[in-house]
Amino acid sequence: MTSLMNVKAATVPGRLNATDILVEAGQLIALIGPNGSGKTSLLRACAAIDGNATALEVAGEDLRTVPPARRPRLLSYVPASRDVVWPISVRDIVGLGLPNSASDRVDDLLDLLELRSLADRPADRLSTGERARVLLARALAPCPHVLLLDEPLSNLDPYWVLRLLELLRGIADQGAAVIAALHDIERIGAFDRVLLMNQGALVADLRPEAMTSSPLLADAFRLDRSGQGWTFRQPADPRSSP
Amino acid sequence: MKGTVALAPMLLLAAMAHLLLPLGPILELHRTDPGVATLLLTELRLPRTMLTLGYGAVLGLTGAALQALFANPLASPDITGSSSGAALGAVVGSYWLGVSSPLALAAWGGGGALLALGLLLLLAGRRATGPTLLLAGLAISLAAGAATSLVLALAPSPFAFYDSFEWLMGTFVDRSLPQAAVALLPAAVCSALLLRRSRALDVMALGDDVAASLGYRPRQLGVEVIVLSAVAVGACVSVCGAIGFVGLIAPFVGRLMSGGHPGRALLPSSAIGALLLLLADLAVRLAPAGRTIPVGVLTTVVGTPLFVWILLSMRQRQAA
Repeated sequence: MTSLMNVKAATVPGRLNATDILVEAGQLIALIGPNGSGKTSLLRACAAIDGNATALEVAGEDLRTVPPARRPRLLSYVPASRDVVWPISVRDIVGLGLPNSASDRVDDLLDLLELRSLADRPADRLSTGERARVLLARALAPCPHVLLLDEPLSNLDPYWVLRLLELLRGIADQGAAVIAALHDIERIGAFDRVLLMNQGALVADLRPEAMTSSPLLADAFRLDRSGQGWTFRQPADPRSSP
Repeated sequence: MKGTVALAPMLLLAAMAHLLLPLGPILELHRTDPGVATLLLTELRLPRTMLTLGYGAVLGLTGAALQALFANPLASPDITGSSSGAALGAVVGSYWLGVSSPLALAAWGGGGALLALGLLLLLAGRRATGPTLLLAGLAISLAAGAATSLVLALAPSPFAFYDSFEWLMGTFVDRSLPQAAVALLPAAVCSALLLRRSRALDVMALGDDVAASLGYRPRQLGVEVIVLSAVAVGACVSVCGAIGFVGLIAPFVGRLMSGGHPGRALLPSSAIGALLLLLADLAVRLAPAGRTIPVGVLTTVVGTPLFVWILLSMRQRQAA
């Protein structure tokens, strides 16, 4: 059986060492790692935005050579930035990149993300959390095989954090795959598989339970287990090093 | 889209008015010598109307394209320094190197505009925030303006300063059909190529990364938009001089008509630009006889308060 997504030797000079990832349909994958460890670089490399790779395939098609018209169906990428510069209506943003005939699909997504009442508001006047939902709806609109999300849970209130995790599970159950870069390591329990990045390299690929107890996680984040929570390791005294 | 369709008859009406008004001299001539009346229309007024319409459309279109590219409503050929760069190029070509053919002058203008936009990219980078873009554009405009004055002051001809004044301020007076062709042919080709990029520019509203993930090439698009804008504006500036503010104001109205979409705003913005410039030039021509004001002075006088208003509304948005 072939994988839904096949990434070989994805590299971003100075940010990401050659990394291989195989993603199966239905997988909900969390991508974690300390600040600057290469999470965003890995997502960007997987979306063929940056860097290079020896293989970059989704559903058997090479992302880099597929005609632009078919590409939205293969993969959607949502960056961590929630910026929308122009006063474009929420409805238009969600439909951007879809054929004009797809207004039913837009309506469904507006309902799904509870954006119906905001549909005609200019997106640049919404709150950051509302805009996050609009941009997610835009990414979901073409029914992509693979969804790459950078910090999807930030700016969301607790209701929407839980709703979103459930929604992503539903998308995975329908045969897509999701890779989401997260800051909150307490949330990895909701995922099937957890990738740990450190210093530009993929250092562990484990199930969430195994990841939580892995010394690799503790070392990467410079944390120690303490009861139910974590304590941080005291930084080494810079004066003690030569 | 409906708004854009409604613009077409308005544009036609404005162009006819620009061509025929003031009607008196034409009718009088027609009574005494119909042949001369026709000549007056085709040789004197037609090039002026075509240039005004075309230059206005180019300013609106390139303004809208540059604003979409830089994701910034303050970008425009004049604010980003490409108009002053084109003026400098044309002045160097004309007063120092003795270039006189309109075609060669247009090439010098295009080169100057290109240099200015390249410099802007170096100074501010793409995705520059409003203040950075403004400052970098201002620096380039000032530098190009100073260099233009210097070139004129040191020019071999002692009359260079005086004789270039009207042209530098932007004017459509006494331009011939061949001159109009030199400005408008490259401008038309570049405009058509820019219009073909309006869908890509719409997607750029979501940022470079999302556009790239959808299979567009933001970096390549950026170079294309900048080169096409510079060539189109440069060709017009080298014939008619630099005209301010139309490229800034027209896209603002164009986006209002296209639901805020920066790419879809290209066509309405160019229509608005043409309309604005036709009306401005008509106003200059119908003004009480005496000294003629260069049309660029009028657009700047009217445009400055509008510019301030855009700035204020941006500030309000940031505060919201």
